[in-house]
Amino acid sequence: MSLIVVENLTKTYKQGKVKAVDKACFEVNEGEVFGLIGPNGAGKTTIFGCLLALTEPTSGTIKIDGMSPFDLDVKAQLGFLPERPCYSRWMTIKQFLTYHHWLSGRPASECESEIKRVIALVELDIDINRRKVKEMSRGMLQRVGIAQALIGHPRIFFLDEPTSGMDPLGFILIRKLLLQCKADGMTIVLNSHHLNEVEKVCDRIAFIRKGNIEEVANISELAEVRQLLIVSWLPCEADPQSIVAAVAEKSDCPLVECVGETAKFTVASNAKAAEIISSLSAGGLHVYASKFEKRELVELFLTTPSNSSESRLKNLVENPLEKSDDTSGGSQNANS
Amino acid sequence: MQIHRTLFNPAIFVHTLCVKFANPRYLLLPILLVGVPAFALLISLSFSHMQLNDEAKKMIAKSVHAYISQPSVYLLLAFLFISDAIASGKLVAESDTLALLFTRPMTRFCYVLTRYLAAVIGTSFFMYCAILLAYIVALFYGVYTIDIGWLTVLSIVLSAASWCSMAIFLHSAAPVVAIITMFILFGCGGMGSIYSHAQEPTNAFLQILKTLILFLDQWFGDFMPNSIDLATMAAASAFDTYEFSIFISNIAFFILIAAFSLSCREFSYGSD
Repeated sequence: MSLIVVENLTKTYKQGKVKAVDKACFEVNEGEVFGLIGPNGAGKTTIFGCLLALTEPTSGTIKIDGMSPFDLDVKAQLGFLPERPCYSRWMTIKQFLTYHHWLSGRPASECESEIKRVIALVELDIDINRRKVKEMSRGMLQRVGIAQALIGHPRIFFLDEPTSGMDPLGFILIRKLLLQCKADGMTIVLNSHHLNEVEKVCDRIAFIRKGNIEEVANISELAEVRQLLIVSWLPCEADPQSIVAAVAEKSDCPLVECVGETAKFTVASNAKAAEIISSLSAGGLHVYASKFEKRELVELFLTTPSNSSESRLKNLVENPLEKSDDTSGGSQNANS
Repeated sequence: MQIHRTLFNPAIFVHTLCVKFANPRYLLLPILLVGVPAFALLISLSFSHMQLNDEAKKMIAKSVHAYISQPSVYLLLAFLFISDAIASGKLVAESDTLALLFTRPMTRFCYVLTRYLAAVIGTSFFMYCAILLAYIVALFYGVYTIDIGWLTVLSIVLSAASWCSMAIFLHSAAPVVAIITMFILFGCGGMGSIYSHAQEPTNAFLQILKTLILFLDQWFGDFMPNSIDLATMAAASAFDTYEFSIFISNIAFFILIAAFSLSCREFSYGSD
């Protein structure tokens, strides 16, 4: 069941001269982890702003649980971790969390226990009664931010760059936390540049570039699409090149390369892999080893942008090693 | 959980009024402001050798009341409560703090009203403390002319309400809008009063400029918040209802445009 429905969302600035989001359409199902990925300036944070009713869409509709995001009943179900952790600097962590517990409209009697719970969740091992927000490092602030967002068991959890400024332990914590939230039935919308992290926690992802949602894909489907099958066989007198080419054509799995006694195929499923291996054996090659080589999400992210939603996957299947020259927004993603 | 729309949010109220003063360091500025008239009285009465006749006592009372009508003191105190900048110890981007706040189940109108109410109470409290302290010091020297009665209390509350309405607008509006409004209001008011007393310029350009400024002052000058002295108004032969109604309507006007600007305000990179 779709909890968040976004239809033709458009947001422009400066009297329409700057189009931050252009007719974005996607749905987020209840209980799933949905990732928004794209280069800097792609429009991810603007989409977040519209979903959180911080900005008014120029056109299009957003429904969260059938209601407008401006509805207070919707806001009561949200938790939000902002990208820039600008919190009231003079407050102690305890004051800050108490303040947000109060703002969330939860009963005051639950405040103490709730603060203890969220502090334990983010593994913040400090004296929250004494330490102030301004004394926190960037990574610690991120933990404080997550703690405030988790106050009151929100039904929908929005995270804007949750791992920025965090150390490797923080990365692991975020992953653990998100998986735990997912297990608790929380719907999570995640905006991140750390594609490896996105891949590990998300069920579905939306690729955004220049305000357009180019594709919404299942991570599990992508995992299959991204597989390269490497097959090795014993030396033989037959012409392996022609056998391999014929098998590739017959099984409809593009041949990436064939060097010596090893060939690489792009396969879309495990069944196709089995078909290739059996066909090669039937063709007279003595297959002794085969393995999958998984391509990272970052490679998919860097492939040539297209307007067609299916052509990205098609492009990847047909040209698995091709990378785009367009590195305008992707370079830092590759680094990540 | 069913959320009801309210016009008052206790979390915002307590936060505005109390939490930021949890650290005594942040009390320093209001304490200094509170202590100014008392300290000035103490100095002048201790070291001057003037005869404390009725005229002098009236002058003392007048100067203390002049202090509690000072727009700058009210504005400073109002900003101390409404803005987070002073308590934060540096100029922070308040739009980021507000963005997180407005993801919580609270209307923006409620935020404006609550914050305004808290600021009025806080500002009035400190201003009344200032006159009370001055009154105690004056009593010590045998000066009984400083009025701390209910008309003074009401004047302080109304003056605080007036200046806080402007402060809440400046806090709620997008920074550019706030700055432009400040320039227009203070510019028209200030320049208008200067030009109205200036000699007739001979230069045609200056003549046009003077006409323009006086025109703007006539139209916008009345929008400026003001302090009010109810004791003087009550002592007059006829209560100035015109001035009082302008005073009250200005407060309502600023609160409404504060709520309106905040409701229109968008919180994202490109919006401010």
